[in-house]
Amino acid sequence: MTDHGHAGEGLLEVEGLTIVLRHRHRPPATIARDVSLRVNAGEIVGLIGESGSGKTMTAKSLIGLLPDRMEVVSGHARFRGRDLLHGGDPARVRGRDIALIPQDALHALNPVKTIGWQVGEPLQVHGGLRQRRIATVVGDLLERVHIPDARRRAVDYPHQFSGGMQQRALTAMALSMEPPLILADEPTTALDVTIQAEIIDLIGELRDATGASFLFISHDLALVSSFCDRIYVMYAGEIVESGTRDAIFSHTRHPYTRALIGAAPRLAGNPERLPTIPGRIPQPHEEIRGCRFRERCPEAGAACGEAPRLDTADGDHAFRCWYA
Amino acid sequence: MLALVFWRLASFIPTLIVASAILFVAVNVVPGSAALSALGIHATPQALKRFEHQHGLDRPLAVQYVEWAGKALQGDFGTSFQNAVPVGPEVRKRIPVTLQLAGMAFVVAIVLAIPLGVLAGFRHQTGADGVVTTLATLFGSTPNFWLATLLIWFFSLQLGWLPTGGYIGFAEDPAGNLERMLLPCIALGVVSSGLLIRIMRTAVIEVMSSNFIETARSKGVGDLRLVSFHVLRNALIPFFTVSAVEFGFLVGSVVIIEDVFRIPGIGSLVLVGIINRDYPVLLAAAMTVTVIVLVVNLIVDLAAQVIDPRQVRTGHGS
Repeated sequence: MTDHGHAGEGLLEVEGLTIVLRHRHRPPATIARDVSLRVNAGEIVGLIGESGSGKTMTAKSLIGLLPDRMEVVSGHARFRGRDLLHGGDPARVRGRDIALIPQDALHALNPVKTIGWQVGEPLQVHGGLRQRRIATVVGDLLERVHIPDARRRAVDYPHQFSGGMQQRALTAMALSMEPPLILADEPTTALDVTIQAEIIDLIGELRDATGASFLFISHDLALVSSFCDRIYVMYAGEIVESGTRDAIFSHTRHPYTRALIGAAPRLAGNPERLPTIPGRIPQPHEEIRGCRFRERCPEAGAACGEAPRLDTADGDHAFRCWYA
Repeated sequence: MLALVFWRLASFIPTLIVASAILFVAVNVVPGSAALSALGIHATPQALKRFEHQHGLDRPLAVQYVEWAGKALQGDFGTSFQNAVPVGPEVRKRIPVTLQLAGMAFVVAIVLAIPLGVLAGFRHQTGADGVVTTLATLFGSTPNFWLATLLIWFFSLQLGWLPTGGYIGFAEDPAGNLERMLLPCIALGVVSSGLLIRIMRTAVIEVMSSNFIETARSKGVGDLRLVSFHVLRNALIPFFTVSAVEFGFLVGSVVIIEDVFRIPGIGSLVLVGIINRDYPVLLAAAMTVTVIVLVVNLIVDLAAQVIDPRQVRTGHGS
């Protein structure tokens, strides 16, 4: 593994990002609140949270792919110092500067186009290459993601690929323009555990080979712990803890992170029941006073009636809790 | 693919048997008498009896059917009760006329439906969608004979641009043929497009909500490319299936439209057959329409297979 320094200007800098969902009959609901995160060159950064925590929408807002009624109401997002949210056509950034590896591989592929055509499409869109050259590049890309017999399989349709191979093809697609940043949106959720591990290995391998950064979105803290350099934990639209992998796992500060680590299934121990986090994640439209995790928190106290700020006193290791 | 064509052709046989049996019963149970129609209301009861005996109409229906079917299989559709002319050649002569009319009308319907449906679906819940949806409802609920009359009144009588009806073979006079076919094709096509626009719109909305559309956008694909490479072909798969059914209705409407425009096709023959209780004519014409609809359905199904790779079985993979 090459050395990836954490110093210097971040490749992606998000500051105070707030996303709301507009309703016709209700006040707008907050999907993401005051989210700040950074991805440095060559880093794999994990963005972790339960479904509904706002992690996917945070990532999609960066490339202008929020659903119709959602919008960014405040905050900044800069990619290499350039504003992503205001001005400029997001279509020019997509695929070329920032690529997306979508979740649910089968449905993320167009059923009536060949794998090769879809993998090569960013090259078509962003131009500059001849048709024959594109075919060669596509073959190379599919080989790079370890599709067996890549050149011949390029003319196959998605339904002729297994789930793992579809996910590999989507990864190849994201790599095609050699973007500096790749947003991986739960790319392994629909896959078997063994295939999951292969995709994770592949991402690490590609980072080392191309120097691309990854923002890896997942609900699976254990999975992310194996390969992410830094981790952001999101809960109900807010970042509740962030830091290096080591800081998050060995010096956990936030009760939610601790609960997530506790809830991860382990082979050893074999408890009767897996520990779970009681209660449910609050809905975006629910009005909550104080800490958003208070209702489910085993450590909640009197101070939690007031919303805690993100405590950054500990340098890179930040957390949002009065009692941590 | 070849095996599929074979099995589909084989499935025509039971379809044709059932269709012809239903037709046979239907023409015989409706009130009215073939003999009365052929001989006129002043014919004596003896003359009517003699006519019925002559044409075998006094025998049980099943016997008549088997005899008719046996001869039809050999290409003999009998002779008209009205003028003793053999029915087979008369029908054959009219097939190209109806095929041209229905085919061109279908093209009009599809040429209207695809772009309008795509526009409405792609701009779902916008003003454009509202206009197109309203238009589609208007088109679909207009009776085609009424639209035909309106078209004749405006383009033929008011403006004098086109003939009010009639027919000239395309081989004889291409311009004259198209001049006369234009209004009936528009009348049929516009009405048929009502349903097809809605089908295309729904198909596009469905495709637009697919995950792969977001994948395409995440690659930097713009609207035009998105519609032409990702949306259209996927939306055409359900569209074609429904349009085959709509073609069946369209061929059915040909009966009225051919009469309005005085076009000597199968449809006007069906009408003559019904009015005169001329069973041989009616059966031959109606069965021809059935075969046309079946063949078009087969062609459309094959086309849907070609555009949907999931339906084609190939070598490797599952």
